[in-house]
Amino acid sequence: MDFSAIVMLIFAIVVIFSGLYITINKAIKSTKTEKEE
Amino acid sequence: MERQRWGSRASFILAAIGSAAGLGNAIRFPYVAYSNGGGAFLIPYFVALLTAGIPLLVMEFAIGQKNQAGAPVALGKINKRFEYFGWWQVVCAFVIVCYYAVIMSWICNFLVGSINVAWGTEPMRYFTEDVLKVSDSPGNLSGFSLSVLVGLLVTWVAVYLILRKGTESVGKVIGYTVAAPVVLLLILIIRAVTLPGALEGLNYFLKPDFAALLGPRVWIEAYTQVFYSLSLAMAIMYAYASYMPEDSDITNNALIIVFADACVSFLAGLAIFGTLGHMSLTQGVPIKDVAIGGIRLSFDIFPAAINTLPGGRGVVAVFGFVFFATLLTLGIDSTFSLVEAVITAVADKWKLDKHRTTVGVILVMALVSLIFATKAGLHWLDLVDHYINSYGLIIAGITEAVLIGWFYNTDSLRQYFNPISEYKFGRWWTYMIKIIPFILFVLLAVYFVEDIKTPYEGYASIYQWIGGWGLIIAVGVASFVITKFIGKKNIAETGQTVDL
Repeated sequence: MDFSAIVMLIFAIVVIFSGLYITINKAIKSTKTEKEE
Repeated sequence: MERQRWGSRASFILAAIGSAAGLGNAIRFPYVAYSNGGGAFLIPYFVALLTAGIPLLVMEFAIGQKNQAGAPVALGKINKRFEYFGWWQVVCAFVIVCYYAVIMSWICNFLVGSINVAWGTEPMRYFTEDVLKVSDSPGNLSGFSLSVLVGLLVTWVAVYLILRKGTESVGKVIGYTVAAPVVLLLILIIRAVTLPGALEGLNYFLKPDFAALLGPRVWIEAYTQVFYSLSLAMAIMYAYASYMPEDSDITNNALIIVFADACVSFLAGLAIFGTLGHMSLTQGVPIKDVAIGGIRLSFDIFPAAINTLPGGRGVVAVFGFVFFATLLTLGIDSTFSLVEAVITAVADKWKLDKHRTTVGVILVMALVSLIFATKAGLHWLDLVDHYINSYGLIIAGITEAVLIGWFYNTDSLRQYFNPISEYKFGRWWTYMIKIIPFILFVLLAVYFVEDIKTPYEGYASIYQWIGGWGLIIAVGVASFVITKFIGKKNIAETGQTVDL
């Protein structure tokens, strides 16, 4: 695999999975807070 | 009558992910990315998600949730004249699901056929001659293909069982139908990347060609992919959001759905190009000759690629089953979400009993879908799919965004969803709704003119008119008739307010 292809692979993984992690985490925290209230 | 509700926020998010992540993610995205700059396509794709996908999804969620109704009634509450465009989306969804169910039937046939590798060494021959028994022209219907009919019956029964209790029964299956394709895709990826030649295939998928980004085509393809992939302008997201309480989060739900949808597309790209790379190495076929999207990828190229897997017939059967099970689980929730969009629109408009509406709508759809189960069904499906996607949906999406962006106070919508959402959107959201669809409209107009000049796939003009332009006109006329005549009395009775 070319170096540029590996860079794009890492770029896509970072954007997609970090995006998913941050948004799901936020939703879980918010749901927990709502339940506690 | 009290409105149905999703059992939880997770049920709603999963249902929307299931609707968004469909066959297009697996059989369209990898090909579109490959033929538009490879890895470099990810840049316009992410830009399109940020500037159009997220803003428009939030807009549809906000309108559906705020008005607690499906697309036509929700848009009609904003402005009576907008209701027509809601019906346009619903009629498009109706047409799409009629042939989408037939594709599900083909997948069912291949799933069963994978047990004994029924396609043998010639998947395309098996597909066209054994399963479809395809005729020579759209005019030659030649009766039905029994195997397609049986698959179609199974599909409609499954859709009815899933939708029979509305959000309650959908909530029970959605966890499985969303998780299953992800697990199955991971199995396909693990198998693919451990094969010789796989890295070369991935190289084709991911190697960036940044020069491609300078042309308008790549950007149009990126925005079009985002439109299709997120089920925008198909009346689905309005319907799903309308079953959430009015004070539920909107922006973070939309972000989760967008990232999850992109995730499925990307995983599918890895699985497909990894396997094609191995096929290319073992068969000596250049990847550019097998990197094809759509129906040929699903029912010809990929089964042929699976045939090249080491380990004998048993391995081919297992991975054939995994591949078609992936397509089936990806497609089924998109199918019932399209049906639900129509059911919600009809039930909301005429205040009908939801279960009776479900039965009635599914029966009508099943009858109409029979045209695509004939031996000429493949021709009609090809024509209708091209015209309804290239024109019907794009017109619906851009018109929706331009109308809301330019003829409605979008800031009032932002003031509705920001206080109840986990992420607050600034004025940039309003600008995106106003500007991006307008630019797209201009770019696509040029593309449309070129496309109109060339008869699609060389079909005779009579068939282009019946299955293409005639259909688009019929969508417009049907939406007009429903808005102006059939539904007129009920708008007055429901006492909707104009909120301009």
